[in-house]
Amino acid sequence: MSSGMKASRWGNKHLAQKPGIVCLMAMFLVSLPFWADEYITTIFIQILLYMSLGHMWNLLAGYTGLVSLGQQMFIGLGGYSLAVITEVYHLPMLLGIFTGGLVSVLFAWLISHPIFKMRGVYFTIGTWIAAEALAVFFSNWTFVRSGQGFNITISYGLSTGDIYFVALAAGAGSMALVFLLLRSRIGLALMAMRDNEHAAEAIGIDLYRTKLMCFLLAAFVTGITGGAFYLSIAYIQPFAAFGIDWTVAMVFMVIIGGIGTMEGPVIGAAFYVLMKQYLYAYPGISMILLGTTAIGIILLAPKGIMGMVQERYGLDLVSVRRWSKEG
Amino acid sequence: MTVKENLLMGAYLPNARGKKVAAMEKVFSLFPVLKEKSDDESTFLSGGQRQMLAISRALMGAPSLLFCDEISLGLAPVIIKDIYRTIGAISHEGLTIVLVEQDVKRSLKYSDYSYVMLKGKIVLEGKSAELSEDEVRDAYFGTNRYAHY
Amino acid sequence: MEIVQSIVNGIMLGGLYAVIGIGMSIVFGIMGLTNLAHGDLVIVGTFLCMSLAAQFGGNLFLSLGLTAILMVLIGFILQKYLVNKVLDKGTEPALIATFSISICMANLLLLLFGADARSIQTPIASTNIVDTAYFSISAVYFLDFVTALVVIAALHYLLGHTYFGRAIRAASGDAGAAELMGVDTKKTYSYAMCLSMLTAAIAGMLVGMTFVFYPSTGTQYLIIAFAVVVIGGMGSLAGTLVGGVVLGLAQLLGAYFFGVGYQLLCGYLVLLILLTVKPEGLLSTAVRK
Repeated sequence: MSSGMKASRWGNKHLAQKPGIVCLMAMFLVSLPFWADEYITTIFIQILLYMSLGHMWNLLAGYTGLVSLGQQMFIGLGGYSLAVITEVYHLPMLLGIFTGGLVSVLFAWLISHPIFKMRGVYFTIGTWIAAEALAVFFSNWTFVRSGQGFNITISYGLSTGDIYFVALAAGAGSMALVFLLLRSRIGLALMAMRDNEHAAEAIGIDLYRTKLMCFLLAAFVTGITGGAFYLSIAYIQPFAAFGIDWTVAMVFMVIIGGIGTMEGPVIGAAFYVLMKQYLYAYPGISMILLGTTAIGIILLAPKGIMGMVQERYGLDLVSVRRWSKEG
Repeated sequence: MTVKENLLMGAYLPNARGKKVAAMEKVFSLFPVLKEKSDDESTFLSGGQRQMLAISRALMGAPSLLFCDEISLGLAPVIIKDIYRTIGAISHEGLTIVLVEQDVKRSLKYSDYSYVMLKGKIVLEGKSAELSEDEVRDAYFGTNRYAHY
Repeated sequence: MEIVQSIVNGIMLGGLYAVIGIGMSIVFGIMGLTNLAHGDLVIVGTFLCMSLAAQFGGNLFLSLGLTAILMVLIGFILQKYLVNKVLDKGTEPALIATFSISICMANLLLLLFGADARSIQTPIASTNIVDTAYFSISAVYFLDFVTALVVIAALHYLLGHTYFGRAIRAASGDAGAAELMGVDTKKTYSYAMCLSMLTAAIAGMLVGMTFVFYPSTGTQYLIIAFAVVVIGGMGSLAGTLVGGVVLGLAQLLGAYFFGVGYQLLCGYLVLLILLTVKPEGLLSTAVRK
């Protein structure tokens, strides 16, 4: 159920109806590496990639009702695909990244049958365990150099600008995909499922297939984003690649930015990246701060920053809202 | 929780705890079936037995006033008869009971004083022995013939 | 016969795992809350125990006592100011809230203690209680197992035969009816959390004595706790022991057959299989959704 839509003081502000603004933003983003310095470009790379992760987690948790704490499994798979394709087989980087997406989808499809049998909190922890299992597996697998990991040497030949465009593709692509998905029939099905699963099933919505499609899509995009991340990090090692820290970022970004909104992950990603930059010298503190902010948000403003903005000002730039009160 | 544990919980509050052994004896004599099933899980009881358990649990608290809200709801007539006989016995022993009931005949039969409420207002009251079923029904359905404030 | 040693160790460790998991089982059984911070709270207990032991010249009883008091206090505060408020908002906010607590705890420990490996020194650390030609039982492992038996027996008595325990069970079974009987359900939930933290403190000390630990070890123990509760069945005390032993055996036999690197993995796989096939657990009593 969408929150009471106040008559917006700002008028009708759907971005889709303001092509001028969208064009300006696109030009800004596409031209960035040519006029901004290295530092700013890197920040934008981070924001774009984290935003992509956020969109996917938001799609699963905020719209499909699947709280996954195991998305890092696809990041690891994506990163390792890139590493293996470029380091072992000496094939082009873009192929490596794309393979990351493919491998992720395949793995997601493989585990989908058992994992969807788990409901609620079992699903949540099941995904986490699957990721941990992959971490242990990869750290014992000699083909991927076990715990030692790979140096992704192909990154050394790339400029920050090159990496930026990969990140831009991932970030913009993920946002566009979610947007299109939510506006499609699947989006309607998701809304119906969130409001009342039984009724949705009764009118013919295939719950399993809908959830599966979202899960697979999220796996694909997360895998590609993982590859892109490791392109910029240039060194991969199993426990970091499959580590819970990725999910921590996703959860906090989306919760703070506003779960169930399109703008939420954007705001959350910016918040997350900037905060990590400012607190770079104190790594532990940034996590604690994030954690306490998230708790504060859940208690005081469960709809996140964007949710608050929507309620107060009726400002709805892009989305269809979702966050069940009953849980 | 088992039947026995439910009854023990009835005596949770401090003033009732000291009397729980005697209270349980009393309750078992009122509703012997509970004694039979005292170690069974309460979820295995039938509707009527659950109602008996609920009443007994309330009695375990050594109450000075017992509120009964629609205790006949959903029960078979045979069971209702049983339960009401027990309610009557308890009330004769001196416990004050406030009974909310939709079965007019039974409520008049087992009570000393009755009130009929319509939309939050008392539209009829009096000694149960002196009220007729028709009076009560008319007052409840609001036909106003015998209504007085 | 190496395999016998693995089996024996698996069973003994099962005791440790049971003590770790029982706190999570209590909270889940009573409040329907999956406390994702449980693993990290156990490790908080471990660090507290370690620091206090250093203060008190290695007196483990004293440090356990103090750790228990501190943990109960932490649990009470968490319950009152966070959990009670978040319980009404639904399962997802509660999950994410406890997840956030977990992250905060782990990073706080990292900040305070650094990333080095730690352990709790104990005089019995390298002795064996049983030493035969076929297998031996280390004193620490034995302590783990015996503690599990004691804790479970104590809880069984507490929950089954005292008014305190009955009130807790009544509140979890039917809060409304319990309140009619005069039970303060919110307070009862707090007591359940405190009980959980008490077992976490004990588990924490045992973990520190049995294994090396880091601020980040919490995740591992969360999964163990969850595995124990799931395998044994939510709401079953004896089930936690069974769950612990099954997990312990899966891990150690996995290590025996496939190598030490696969120890954790085998545990995870067994859990994943059970989650798929019988999520209510092997010995479940209550089915809480």
